[in-house]
Amino acid sequence: MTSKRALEAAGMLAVAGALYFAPSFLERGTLNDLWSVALAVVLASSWNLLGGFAGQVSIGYSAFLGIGAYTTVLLALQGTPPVLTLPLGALLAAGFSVIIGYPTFRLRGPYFTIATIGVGEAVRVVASSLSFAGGASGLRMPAGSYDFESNFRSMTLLAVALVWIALAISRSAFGSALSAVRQDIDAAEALGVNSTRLKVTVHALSAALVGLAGGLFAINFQYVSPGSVFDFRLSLTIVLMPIVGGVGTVAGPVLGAILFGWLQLKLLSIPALLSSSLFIYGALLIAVMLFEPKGLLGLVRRLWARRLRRFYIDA
Amino acid sequence: MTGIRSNRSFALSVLSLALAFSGPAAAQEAAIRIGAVLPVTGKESKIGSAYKQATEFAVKEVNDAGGLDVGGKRMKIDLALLDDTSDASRSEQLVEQLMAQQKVHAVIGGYGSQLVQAQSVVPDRYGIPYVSGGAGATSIYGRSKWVFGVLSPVENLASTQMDFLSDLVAQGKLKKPLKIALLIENTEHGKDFQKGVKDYAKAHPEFSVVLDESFELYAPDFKPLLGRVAAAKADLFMCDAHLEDFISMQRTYTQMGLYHQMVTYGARGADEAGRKALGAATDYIFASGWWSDLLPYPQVKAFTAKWKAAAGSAPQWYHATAYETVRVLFAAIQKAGSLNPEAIRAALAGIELKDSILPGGVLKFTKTGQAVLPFVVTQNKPDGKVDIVWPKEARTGEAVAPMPKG
Repeated sequence: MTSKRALEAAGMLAVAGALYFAPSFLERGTLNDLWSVALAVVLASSWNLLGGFAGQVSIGYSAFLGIGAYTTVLLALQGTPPVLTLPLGALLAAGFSVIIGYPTFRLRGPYFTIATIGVGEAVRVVASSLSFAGGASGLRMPAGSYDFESNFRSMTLLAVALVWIALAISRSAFGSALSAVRQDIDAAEALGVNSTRLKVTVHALSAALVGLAGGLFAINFQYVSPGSVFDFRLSLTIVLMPIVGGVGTVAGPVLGAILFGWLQLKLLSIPALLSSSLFIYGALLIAVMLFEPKGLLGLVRRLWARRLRRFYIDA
Repeated sequence: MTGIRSNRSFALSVLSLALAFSGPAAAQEAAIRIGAVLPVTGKESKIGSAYKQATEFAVKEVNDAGGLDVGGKRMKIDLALLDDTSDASRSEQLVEQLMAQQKVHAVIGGYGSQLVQAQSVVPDRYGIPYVSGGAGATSIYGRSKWVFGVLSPVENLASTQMDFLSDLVAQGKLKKPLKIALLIENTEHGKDFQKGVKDYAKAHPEFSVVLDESFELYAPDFKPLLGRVAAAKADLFMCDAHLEDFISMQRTYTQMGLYHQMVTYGARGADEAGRKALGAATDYIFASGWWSDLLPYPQVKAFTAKWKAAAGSAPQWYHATAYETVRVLFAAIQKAGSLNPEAIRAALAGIELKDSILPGGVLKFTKTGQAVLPFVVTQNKPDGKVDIVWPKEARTGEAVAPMPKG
């Protein structure tokens, strides 16, 4: 067990090291792609903490990304160095998650999901009507706030850190309690688990991580608008990535994020596939639901196990 | 064992997916690589598709003629036109992809101020010239030397409309004082329009703004807002809206039986899509456009004829501005005589397209990178007719003011 964990830690350190030094040996286009995939990993893995581990399907996560992004832009426009705005964005996103968490976690199953859709849309409408936030046109970051290399390192290292956080939670007592809530909330409560506090805590943690990513998003894109960060399609994509990859696992959301990142970056640049991304996402979701409920990771595991069996039988 | 297996399977799947991240095939070096990112689908698709059609038309025209003369060498255009699905962050990503990965020599920007606002942060990072034909908000320009825009400022659009209304007062067609109900979409575009109207009203006491409200872009219901317009008892109704909102708001306006002596939706009104959707409800609406096929220039007649022959319908203002965006970029590339980005940028900054089809006949950029050209005011007439009613020298028909009731 110890050697396995040491191997994992070494693997993660190696990936983190490679990503840290990537700007010195990869070309800019590839770095841009990696940045987008890292963002997708952060969003999918953060959502998975609540949606996968605790089984609470929220479709309002773009609100946290937007809160982090807007906090960074608004404070940077007041002269705050962008990097200092990131913790505050994370804190505000976590605070907002607590405010909406207490009433919405009283609801269960699809009722909770519907409530989160409402919250996400309400935040978008409010942001569109705030003049100081630029209305529907949004806001641009001040000149001189762009530093791609440090932003790339921050986003990719955040993605690696999130995988480590998810792994640590999945092995902790906290993770076991989340799993109990997902499997049978009434039984978990009967055993002494305070499900509301647990859900609010994990919601706040994942919201803070998404808020942090929102700040990095704003610095990288240099522009935020309600349409770009509070978009319902974004909230849907955040949910689809872990489901397609393998919900409730650590590696599944990463696989889902890599797949979606690739689809988004590559397919959209093929004119023949214009506007087909939602169709492809939908088809993937249906295929996963019908044939492989454990997602892409489940499929890969099954194929790998079959290959191993053949190898040993042939041998 | 299970852990190792899952680790291996995970590593394998990551590897196989990572292999899929191969770059695009190298584009032909003999061609000029031009990128374009437009909202072909999504909320802005009606006009975004028209921009696509006109951009492809302009590129085809040049390629059919053998390409551009770049430093004595004929080079064809290799156009990579991408759809941002009317999504601002995707729009920015695609411009970045064109510049970083497809190594384009220049980019043609999108349509819609909020989308162009997002795109316009990218050219500075890569030092690639960028020309937009679909954004008139002034806040986009003047921040980067690489960003150029063909659409004149929306603020000027509003002040042109106010000049037109002042002329109607001078002619005695409208009686002063005139109260204005002003509605704007909550965007930079809307704010520029609002500023244009309010600044003019401040300087001209015969006008007063009695209602000044904004609305969310693509709002689902305009009834409450129009209820407040009715309560304001204004003489003039001035609104700045995108095409979808114009259609939706004017439909509600008509259903509610509202009436004002003059009605405008900024640049909207004469659009074919709006007239098809609303029919007679658009009659007598006046609009300030960036172009009209009624402009009395021979080059406009020639463009209109070849567009009709190719597309089978009359060109709209957005076809013309998209076409002219491509033309001015190509003229700059020829003037630069090379594909060096700095040379193209410098050529754009100093260009004077003297046979332009846009109002004024000469297309050039100001120091901020935005073109400042005169506007024309058109007024819809019954049976689908449109007249230029301002400026006087370009007039093709008399303005009907006040609008007939019913």
